[in-house]
Amino acid sequence: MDNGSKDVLLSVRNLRKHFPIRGGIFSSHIGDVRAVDGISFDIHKSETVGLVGESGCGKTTAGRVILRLIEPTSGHTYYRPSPEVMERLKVLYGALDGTPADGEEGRKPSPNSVEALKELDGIANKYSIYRMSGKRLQALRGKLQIVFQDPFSSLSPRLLVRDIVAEPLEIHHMGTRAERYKRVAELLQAVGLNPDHLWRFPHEFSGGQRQRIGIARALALRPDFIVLDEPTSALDVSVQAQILNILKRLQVEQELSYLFISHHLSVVRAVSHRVVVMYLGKMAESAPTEELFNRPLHPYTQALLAAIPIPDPDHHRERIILSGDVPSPAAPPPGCCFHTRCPVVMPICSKVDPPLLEVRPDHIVACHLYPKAIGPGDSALPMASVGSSPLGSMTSPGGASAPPAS
Amino acid sequence: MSGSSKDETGATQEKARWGLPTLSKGRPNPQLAQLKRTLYFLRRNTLAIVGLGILIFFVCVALSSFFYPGSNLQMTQLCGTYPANTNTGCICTYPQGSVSPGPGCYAVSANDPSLVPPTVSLSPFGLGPLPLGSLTVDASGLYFFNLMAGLIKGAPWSLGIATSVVVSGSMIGLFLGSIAGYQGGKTDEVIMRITDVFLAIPGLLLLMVILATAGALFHGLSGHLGILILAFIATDWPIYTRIVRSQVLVTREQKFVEAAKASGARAGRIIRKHIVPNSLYPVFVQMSLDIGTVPLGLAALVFLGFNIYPSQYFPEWGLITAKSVSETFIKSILTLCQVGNCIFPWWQIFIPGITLFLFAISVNFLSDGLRDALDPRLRR
Amino acid sequence: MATEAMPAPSQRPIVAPPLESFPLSTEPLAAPAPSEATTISGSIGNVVLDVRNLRTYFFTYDGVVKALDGVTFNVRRGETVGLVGETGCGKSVTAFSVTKLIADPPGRIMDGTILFKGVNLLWGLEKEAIYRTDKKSNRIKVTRKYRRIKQGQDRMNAVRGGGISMIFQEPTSAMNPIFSVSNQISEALLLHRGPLIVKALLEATPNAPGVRPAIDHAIEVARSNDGKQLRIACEELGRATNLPSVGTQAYYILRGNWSNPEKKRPELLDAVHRARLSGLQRNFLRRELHRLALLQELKDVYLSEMRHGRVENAAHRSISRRITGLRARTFYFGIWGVRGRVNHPLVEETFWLTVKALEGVTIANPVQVARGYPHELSGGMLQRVMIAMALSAEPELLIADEPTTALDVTIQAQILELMRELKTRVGTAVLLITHDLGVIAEVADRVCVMYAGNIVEIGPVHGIFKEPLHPYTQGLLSSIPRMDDPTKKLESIPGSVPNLIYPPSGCRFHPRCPQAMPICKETRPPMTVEGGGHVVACHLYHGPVAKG
Repeated sequence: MDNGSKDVLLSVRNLRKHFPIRGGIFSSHIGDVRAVDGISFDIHKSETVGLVGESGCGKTTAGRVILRLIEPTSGHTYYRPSPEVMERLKVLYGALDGTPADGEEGRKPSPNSVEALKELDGIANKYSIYRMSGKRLQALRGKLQIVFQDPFSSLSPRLLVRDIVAEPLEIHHMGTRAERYKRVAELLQAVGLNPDHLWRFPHEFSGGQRQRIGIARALALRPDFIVLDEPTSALDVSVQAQILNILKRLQVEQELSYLFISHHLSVVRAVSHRVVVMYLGKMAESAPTEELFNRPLHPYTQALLAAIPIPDPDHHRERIILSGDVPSPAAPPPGCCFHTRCPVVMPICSKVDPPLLEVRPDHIVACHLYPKAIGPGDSALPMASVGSSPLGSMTSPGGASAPPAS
Repeated sequence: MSGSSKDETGATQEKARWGLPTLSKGRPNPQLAQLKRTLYFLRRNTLAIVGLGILIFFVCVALSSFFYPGSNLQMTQLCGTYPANTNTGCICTYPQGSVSPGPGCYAVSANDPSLVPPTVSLSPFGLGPLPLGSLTVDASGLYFFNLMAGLIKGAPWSLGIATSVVVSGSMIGLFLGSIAGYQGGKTDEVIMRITDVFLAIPGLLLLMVILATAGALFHGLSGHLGILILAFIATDWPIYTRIVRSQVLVTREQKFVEAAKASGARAGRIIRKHIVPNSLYPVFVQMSLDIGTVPLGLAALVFLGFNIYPSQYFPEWGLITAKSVSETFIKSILTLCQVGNCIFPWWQIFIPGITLFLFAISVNFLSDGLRDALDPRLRR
Repeated sequence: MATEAMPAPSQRPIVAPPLESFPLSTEPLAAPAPSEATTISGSIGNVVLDVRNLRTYFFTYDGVVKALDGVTFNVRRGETVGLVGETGCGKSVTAFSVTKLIADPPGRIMDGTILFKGVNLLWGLEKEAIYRTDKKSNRIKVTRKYRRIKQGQDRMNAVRGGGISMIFQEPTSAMNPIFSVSNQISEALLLHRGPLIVKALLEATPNAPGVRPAIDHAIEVARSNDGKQLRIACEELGRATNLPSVGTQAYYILRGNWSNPEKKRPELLDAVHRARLSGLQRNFLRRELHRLALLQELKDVYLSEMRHGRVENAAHRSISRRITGLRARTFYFGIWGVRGRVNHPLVEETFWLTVKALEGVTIANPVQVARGYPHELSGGMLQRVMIAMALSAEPELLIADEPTTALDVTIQAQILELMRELKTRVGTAVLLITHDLGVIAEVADRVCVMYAGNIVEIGPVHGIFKEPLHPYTQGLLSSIPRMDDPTKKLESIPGSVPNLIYPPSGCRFHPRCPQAMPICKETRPPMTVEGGGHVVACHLYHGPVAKG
């Protein structure tokens, strides 16, 4: 659980993905579905970051974009930036606070951030995965893998298990066929399956076993990072425990990092080191696991935690029942996107979008209830103080314009 | 986990070849198990079995036609009809005891295999049905016509043309449809608009246009079988493109395609290995349907008067039916029925027609049964 | 229907189930002796649903799937029983067997007794199919008598809806997208409460003397901005006209018009006068009443058949003759013609009854939802609409098949809150099927744990969670990540769910059980009553090696 800028595997900055809505006679561009609207966090080596939110909040899209299965609208994901580069990124993004970087939303950058943007551009050319191509991109594919939610449709029904797991090796032309199949047998053993299962079709297996085959396939190219897209949501509880144990073991053995996307907070708590809560494409809160669960600051996080059914009939806890339904990501409410359902809504919430601020050590929240960030003297600089509001620098006097790193 | 109690050891041997751990007892071969399952469901469908039976019968007839008298291609083409006066090597037989139809014909015993039942005749009015399988004279008196031989000789032609048309059309359709479905965007638009153009024109009309144009442009090509097949392929491929594209649109959203992309696979590989194998079932069903419609289309063209065969006595079912119909009707209209001898030879129209009908419907039943057996949702 | 409030689970005394509900014999597959009380009349005590030795098999290409093998449990009046188990354990099959919705090829209810308030739902089962074992291939050949199966389904239609009603897992695909919400709920209402609705409409008194003053009073109250008072006043109006739905309509007309409710007087008068029916309309409604009453009679005949166990052919014939006669006299005028105008009062009436039903499931804007279509609603709203539809017929038993699995956590919390509220307000017995133990802990009173087609443990919710007896329950509880103890290692149950075509011999859990004994492989453990309402099927608690 490293903090700070050492051993950062992936640094996601201001990632946005807008899907255009086409309508009218000529399929003109009417609007955007803002699936992911500005998320930023870091993933360190051997760390599990849990990405939590309800359906429609964009976490699945975020996982795909981080892997470059979908091209983002703006933002960057830096792969293995060195500690010096991380420091520079902090400084640069801090300096760009409030101004759109990277051509976001079609706005022109202000003159005094042109320098910063140029330097950012240079760093992006070297480290951002969206600017890689050719051989480098192919090599990257092996390092960033994904395990899907639905064990029933994520394995091709017409291929034998042997071919399914050997496919990544085949694509990258690794070894002869015999060597590939040997490796497949090793991988299946690593996830706890009998190598005899090579010779079967996926439909002969149960959900948990299929999920294990999916994990074996993801491990084929020795990745650094795996996006786990709700890996246990379609499985039963006891099987879920098996899979989670396997994942934990593999993380230790192979030094993997995970992005664990889920809407089951209890499961996320059991596996993650850090949790990021998303709502309607924006980050609501981000903190280490225990900090988040013991002290949830954002009202949405509090409601989520209160809504989880606890398998204990005597447990009485405060019920925070949110009214209404999740708004559509094509037409998010103005200001704070949560204000239509928030139990503690204030007048400012419907006008201004709250910026992401570090209000406690390593605990980042975007809520008007916490308008002040901790000052620079306390601890690590705010890593994501770029607010998506045009008035960002005006509403967050505390940590907005960060001084240059010493 | 299949219910069969027999174990296949093919898997064991293959595993030993790769140097992988083998089981003490053999495991059932999964691909074989799938085939068995499909056959089981096909077996349970009576209509499909009937269709399959009739189709197998036709295939056997087609295969046995190569042993029918007549040595080289020229002979084969003409042996459906036996020119009475020229020496082409075809043997002309008639049963002993009846009158010889023409010079150069041999009398054979009634049990000779060259006399093939049933009794059919294309004789002009008044002569009535002749004894089993004997030759008959056509209107000009120059050519003899044996309906049964014509049908037997025609079986490989009908089947062959149908199969080649269908296979080529489906391959073109698979190729174009998978590209269109997978790439989307402009490629998709372009391919689908071309497909729509071809589909908007009724099949028969398109066929006629193509054949007429080819015949007009290249004089040696009218009556050329190759052009005929190409014309049919041109009318057939759009349907496959449509079918394949719709399947591809569904398959490409599946998670395993995304997983392959995540592993770095490129479009060609994904299409080849993932999308096409999963899109094959509707293509098989459509193929089995089309095999039935091609001979019907050929018959339609001949009825409309198109000159699509190398010779007017080419042994193809459609041609035989057309000739039978035209000859019979013309005769019946032109010839006044003399006293007592007015028998309308309905069998001349009925028998070739029913051959076509049986062929088409057997293929239909088979394709229905195949669809039910292959569809993963309908299976139990 | 219990209308008084139910005390909270922790305060309710735990009552042991009556002993005769559970067969204590060591041969659970033998048919139980039906007690006379259940087949003659009435129900024993307060048991709404009594399932004994239910066996459901599916005959597939791969073999015979023994989905349910001797399932025994019961549901009492007003209580919520949770049926818990993992995928493939047969809980959905149980629900569909109870309502006889099993797809008949390939499935078949082989054996068992399902007593619903004294009515045997599986009467006539043995005549529906003939089983033969093919010695050579060792397959069972099933010859189904479709006529008898259809008769069985007709009989079940008498019970479905009004007696047992069901809500399903995927709310977004459970409703027909081409009909409006009110149309679909009206359909359910008319099917089960048709005669009552039509009779109420016919007997309404829009010209009663108390109506005018009631209207004036309602308008008065509307001025005062008080929602509760307005509702009371509108209910008064409804009572005055002898038609409660007028009250609902009046409430929604006046609601929100605080400034000038006088403007709404013509609308109110229209609402009241919709109960004034013309002669033609009255005729039509009387014919409808006759028709619906006949259908109700048919249902009653079916119920008595199932209750008394004999076919009533004479009654069938007479009713079908009358129905045919009736059909000959009514004919269809077309939607825009006379029939449309004639039908309208009934449509209006059921529309407002629908609105009332939607109010009952705490939907904030019921009129808008009722006029709208299913595709306009989100998952949570649709599930509420489904619950409204299911409860509109006032069933004795509601079977909820994984109602919240497809919903988000916060929406799930809303629905569970609604179910708790309905429990106290309406008091229907609920059979809640789910795999989420957290949901069970929140809503259920008693829990049945299923594994591979058998019930392994039944008990009150506290007993199950605090002191699980069966090793499977213990394994389940220890493999859930707990919010209150996050560092606890997740214990998983080794192995996987068995193939139900070749289930393990004896106790089906023995290959995975950490405490398996030699006897577990041989005999299937019977259900043993452990006291405190706790029943468990495990050799640890039965026989010579039983623990204390």
